[in-house]
Amino acid sequence: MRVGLTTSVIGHTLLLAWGLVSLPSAKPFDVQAQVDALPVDLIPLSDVTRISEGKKTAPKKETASTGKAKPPTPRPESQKIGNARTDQDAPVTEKTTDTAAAPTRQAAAPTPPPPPPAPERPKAPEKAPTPPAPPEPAPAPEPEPVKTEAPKEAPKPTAEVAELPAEPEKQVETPPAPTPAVAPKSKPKPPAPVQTAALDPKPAPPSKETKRSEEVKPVDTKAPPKEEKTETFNPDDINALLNKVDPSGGGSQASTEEASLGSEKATGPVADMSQSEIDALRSAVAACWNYPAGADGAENLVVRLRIEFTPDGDVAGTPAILEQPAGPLGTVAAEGAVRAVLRCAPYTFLPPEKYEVWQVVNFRFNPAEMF
Amino acid sequence: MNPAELTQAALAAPAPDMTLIGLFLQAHLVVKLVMLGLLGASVWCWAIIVDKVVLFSRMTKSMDRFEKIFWSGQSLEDLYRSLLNRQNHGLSAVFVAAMREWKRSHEAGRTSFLGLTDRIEKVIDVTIAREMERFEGRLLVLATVGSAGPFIGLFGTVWGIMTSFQAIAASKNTNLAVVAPGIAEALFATAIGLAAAIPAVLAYNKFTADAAKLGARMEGFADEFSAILSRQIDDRS
Repeated sequence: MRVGLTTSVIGHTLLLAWGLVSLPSAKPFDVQAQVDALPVDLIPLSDVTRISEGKKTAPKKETASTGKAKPPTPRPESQKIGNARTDQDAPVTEKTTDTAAAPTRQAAAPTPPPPPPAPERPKAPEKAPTPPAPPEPAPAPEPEPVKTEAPKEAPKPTAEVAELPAEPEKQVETPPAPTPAVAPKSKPKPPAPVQTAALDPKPAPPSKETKRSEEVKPVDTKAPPKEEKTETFNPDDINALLNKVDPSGGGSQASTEEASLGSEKATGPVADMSQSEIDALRSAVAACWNYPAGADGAENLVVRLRIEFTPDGDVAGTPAILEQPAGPLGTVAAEGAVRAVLRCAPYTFLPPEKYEVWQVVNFRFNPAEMF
Repeated sequence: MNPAELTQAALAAPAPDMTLIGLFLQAHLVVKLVMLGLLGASVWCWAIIVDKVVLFSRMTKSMDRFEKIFWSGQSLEDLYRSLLNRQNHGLSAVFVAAMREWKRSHEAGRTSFLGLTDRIEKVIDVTIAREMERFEGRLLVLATVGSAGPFIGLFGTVWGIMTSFQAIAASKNTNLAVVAPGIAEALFATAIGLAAAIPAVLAYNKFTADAAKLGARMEGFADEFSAILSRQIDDRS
């Protein structure tokens, strides 16, 4: 026994020692990354994908237009500039730098600039009086005088100091001087906007203007910028310039389908009857329908009715038979269907909030499907 | 408290000591006692197992050797004399006991063989019973540990889980990182119980069968030997 006990004690001691040494403490699970809880909302996609805008004048259609909405392709190199409502063709920053650089290139001909101001001034007043009438577009016309001034001054500094980065500042400083000169002639025109336009030539003026200013510079020497103005902007034509194009498309605003019949005010997801509601209506009617079972070919007696409902689920008037099988049996079946619809009324389970959908229902009585 | 903070707190907490010593030291006193008791039981079981293995192997060998000598045609008197001064087990013990009884009947000068056969058989039975007791002794310990060990370990586990749940209730935190160490250390008790019980059960079954086999072998030898002796008695009477 002693041998056994000794052996056992030694064995257990060795086992425990081995366990202590070689059995490592449990390794922590290798967690890849701590995952934060994500709030998940289930959103019916149809709210987004099936937005339609109806048009009251559109011809009646049975179905909502199924045209897919095509997102308008952006014009190349367009971007939103300043407060402009629509995208502009050209990126602003580059052009402005160009305009800033342009005068320096033209520095070779410093003399031409002076003449333009002279013709400019008289023209500016001509245009100036008109803007006050439409209050909003006022900012738009102002840039023009600015441009005419800008090129005028820009060349000068270049003549004095070749290619100084301080040019824009000088532009900023100088405008005040000319504006007083202008002021007496065109008093109605507020000088402040002129200054602001001059102060920040880069961001404020839409790219059209910058473009124009580009065009103006080469023109400066040759032709008076007056033509440009008439082309570019006439406050009298604002009304004509406004976008009067009606929204076209039926399925959605940008689709090419013609507008379908619907409410113009209610723009939103197309309400559909859910399958369960359709089934509920179908089973309710089927329960009341005594169709001539047993007659020859009874399962082919397909009847289509046009049922109008009142908002409380009752049947308005008598359902109209759109389609009935040929023969006397068909008439019996169709009349039975009409009676069934009337007998089961009211259908209170129809959701009132979707009344627009089930106000008129084209119901198809097919014995093969309903029983 | 939002879940992120909870997990942060749990991660920040030091990892509990999961080594064998750590598990033992963290346990409740009752669980500790259970573990120690089971460890002792395991030690004792293995002591018995080693003992029995040695005993049975030695016994089988000695029986083989004795039978070889016994059936070699050697004089039983010589054999008895050579075995008399040694400690005899198994078949040799049966042989020596029977021979001693035979000798005593002759030494007394009595020539009456009446009842000698009965006496010899009784002596043989007693010897076999003593030998069987030697074989089967302490096997009951194995049986007991084998059947009760898992329950004892389970008791320790239940107790440990109970206390750990009380701790959870006190800390009001059901995070798994808080719950897990207590349960792990509680389960450790069951592990020890099973570790002690499984070898005990296996060994008990094996040793019971071995002991029965040896007992049958001894019974067979005793029958043969008593038949030889009774033939002698019948011849002499």
